[in-house]
Amino acid sequence: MVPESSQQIGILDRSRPARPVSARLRRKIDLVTSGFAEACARVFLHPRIRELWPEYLVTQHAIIRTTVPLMEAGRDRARALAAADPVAAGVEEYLDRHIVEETNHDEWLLNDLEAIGVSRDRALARVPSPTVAALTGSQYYWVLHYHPVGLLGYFAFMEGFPPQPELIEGLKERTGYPEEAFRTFRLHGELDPGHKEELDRTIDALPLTSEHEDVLGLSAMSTGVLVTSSLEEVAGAIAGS
Amino acid sequence: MPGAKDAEVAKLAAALADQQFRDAFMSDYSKALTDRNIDPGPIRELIDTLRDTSKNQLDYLASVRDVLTKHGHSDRVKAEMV
Repeated sequence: MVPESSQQIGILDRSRPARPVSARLRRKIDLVTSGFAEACARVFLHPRIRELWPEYLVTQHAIIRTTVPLMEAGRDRARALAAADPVAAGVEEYLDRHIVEETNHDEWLLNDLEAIGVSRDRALARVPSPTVAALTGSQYYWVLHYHPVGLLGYFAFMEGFPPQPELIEGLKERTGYPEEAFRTFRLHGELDPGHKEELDRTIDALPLTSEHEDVLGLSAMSTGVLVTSSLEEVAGAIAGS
Repeated sequence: MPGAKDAEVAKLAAALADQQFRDAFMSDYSKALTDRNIDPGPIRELIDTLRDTSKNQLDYLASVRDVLTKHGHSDRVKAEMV
């Protein structure tokens, strides 16, 4: 029987192991980061960045609008498994808390798009690319047909590269767009470092098997590869890259 | 020496495309590298990370074009997104 005091300890209150899984996961993410960084540069340093910026935001919106529904699907699946699965119980606890933090970020992006003259209707009418569908759709597969812990690999990548203030200032200058066009970008730059730390502590507190760690790494690395492809699509949307 | 590192990364990336090498790497990485004349010295960190990967993860990395040949080419500070 588990002592009452242990039952009351939340997933983030447990001590971290000496060689954390999160550190191994971050190093695996590093394996796909160079291509991602090159794709970021192709977009952010594009000679026609003013024309490209709405394309970038529309694509990011197509991705970000799935964040909360994905978390809800992950939480619900984790909840269904939790009674007999301590990893699922930890995933449920993390997602339940994190859903609140991610709510309405897609609305922020639509507001940013309106600030540069792209209406909500136009942004929402755009057909997402198969790459974006694969990026987010594959997470539903991990969640519904394998184990919801895979979703933590997705967020390990997605929240692992917060935009720095220098990048945002440079983009403002080169696009000529107002501060209102960069609110979501700036807020993620402020919020993501904290989210990253919380996620790493959650991962390290879970009693993961080798299969869990396998799917965590596959989810994170494939997320990196597909995000890179989506950025290459954005960069290729306008000639001059 | 960036040149030496790039050369060993390129040799390793080419070797990883071969399933037989990946299997050999999983069972005895040191021998597998020696057999392909890959010097782990300049790419120790990369080797250590690959040793932490599962067979599924190594197979996935090998399936993605250019992912390992680009390793270390870009500064992490440039990787930023919303």
